[in-house]
Amino acid sequence: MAKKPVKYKKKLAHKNTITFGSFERRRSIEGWAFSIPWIIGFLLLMVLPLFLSVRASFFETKLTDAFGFSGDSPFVGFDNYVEVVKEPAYGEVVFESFLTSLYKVPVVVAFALFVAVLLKQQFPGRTIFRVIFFIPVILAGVIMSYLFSDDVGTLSVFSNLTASSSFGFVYRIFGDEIISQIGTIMWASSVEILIFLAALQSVPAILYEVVELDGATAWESFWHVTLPYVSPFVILNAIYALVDTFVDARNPVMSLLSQLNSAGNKFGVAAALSWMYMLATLLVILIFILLTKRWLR
Amino acid sequence: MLRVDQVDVDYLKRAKKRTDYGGRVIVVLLTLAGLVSMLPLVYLVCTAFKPPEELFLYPPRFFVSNPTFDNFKMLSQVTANSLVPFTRYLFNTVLITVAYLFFLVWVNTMACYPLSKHTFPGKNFLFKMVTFSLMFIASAAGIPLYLIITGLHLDNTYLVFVIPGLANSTALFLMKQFMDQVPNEIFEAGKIDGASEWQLYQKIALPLLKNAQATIIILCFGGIWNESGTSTTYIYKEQLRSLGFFMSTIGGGIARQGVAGVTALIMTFPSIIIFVIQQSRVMDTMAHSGIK
Repeated sequence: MAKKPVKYKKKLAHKNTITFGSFERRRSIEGWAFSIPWIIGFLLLMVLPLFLSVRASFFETKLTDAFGFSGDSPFVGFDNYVEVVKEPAYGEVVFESFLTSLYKVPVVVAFALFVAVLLKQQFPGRTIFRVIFFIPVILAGVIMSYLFSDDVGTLSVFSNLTASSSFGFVYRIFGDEIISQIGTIMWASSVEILIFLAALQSVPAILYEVVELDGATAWESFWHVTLPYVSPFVILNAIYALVDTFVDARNPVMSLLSQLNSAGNKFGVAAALSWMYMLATLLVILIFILLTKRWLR
Repeated sequence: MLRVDQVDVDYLKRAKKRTDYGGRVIVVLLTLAGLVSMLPLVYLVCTAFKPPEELFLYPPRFFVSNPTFDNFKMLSQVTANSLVPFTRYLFNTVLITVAYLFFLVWVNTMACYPLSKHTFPGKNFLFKMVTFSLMFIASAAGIPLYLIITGLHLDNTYLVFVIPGLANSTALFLMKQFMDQVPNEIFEAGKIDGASEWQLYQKIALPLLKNAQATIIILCFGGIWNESGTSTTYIYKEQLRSLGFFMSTIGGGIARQGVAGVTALIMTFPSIIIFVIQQSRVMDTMAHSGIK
């Protein structure tokens, strides 16, 4: 009887000495194994097209040879980039879209946080309100394109509303432009509201109890409990909103790009413009992350 | 010493009153904001019931004054005369939606688990790539993407609806943020109890990511349910096309503006139902009881 446990121990120890050195390696293999389906899709359907579009930006592309592999399209180096910089119309559009997102992002995030905090409370009809604020995401796709008119960045619904006589007083007080802007911002913030709502659930309820016992008002408990807890999500949402406004299909840069893409021989210029735009976006987000780093827990 | 039954009852009553008052303020504020958010849907409903002469009024009217069911009748006529039976489009869309959402959740939760809880070489680089690709402009790579998908012979199959969207950076980014909130100790406890990595993922990570999963499902449902772009670009067999595509072909042309409103209205309902079902999972406080 006494022999058996000893044998077992020895075996275990032996096994440990062999696998222990490669423990880290096993962990890393497991890590990669779990991510592999995602990585394959990512490489094939994201990185590869991106790489091809970088390549295209250095060629004067022809329809027969979009990526300069067969030699039909002459290599032009940075000429496409130079063309983008030289053409004032492109720069104007890009600058305009940056300015728009500069004021939109803070408003969207603040509005989303405000609504999410309210929607977290217990009150009758909460589900109905949650559905109402989530309607824009629900209405994605066909319906969105139906609701949006040709004029860029505004919902035709809102301009229709202000133009129609039934809400004339609203129009007289605020004007067409502001109503459209408010509507568009509310419509842009539904994803952020959802993220905030999910994040708010992770704030321990006990903390609210504690500060309430200490006599904190709802206002104080928001600043000292809620906000510190959701601060990573404030940053996440800001980045999300930033990216969302930058790559939004209704962004003037996007319509310019699709215009260039469909022109046939301008694919290289379009690729160059989109890459410069992307790098500029990245720069803005990097600056934002650096600025907000100290507020992150 | 203050005993429990000596607690100031008046204070408690006042406190109750105060919260009631706050609740009313919340409802008023949300109603105001909600009204603006509701306007497009109201407009959609109104358009669906507008007779043709009201659709083309200038200046446009927001509300309908003489509601009719003409647009609905016209839609049923169009669907009855379609090349492929209407139910086939419906079947296609249900199939691709279920398959896409299932694999989307599976692939992204699996990828987020090691990204958040393991250390392996290349992890930081991978996550940086994910963050970078959030800024990825779809139209920049549209042409290369088309060539790759046709090169893989994914065109003209159901797979083309499912596969290209699976490696979704937004979904992974969100998932990882939620996963970071889960304490490592839970996984360590599981490991000490002898769970394998797969069990850790399935028995611990997946249930704890329930609200992240619901978030992703809500976010991506509308996109895939109303999908029409893929059908136009990659599918040329009419039997394989989606409901969203069929609906968008109906809406074509100025003469059918009212019908387009009706189809848009009909397409919206499943999304609203999915949201109502899933939102309780997102908001479920119990899901987070094991966290923090």
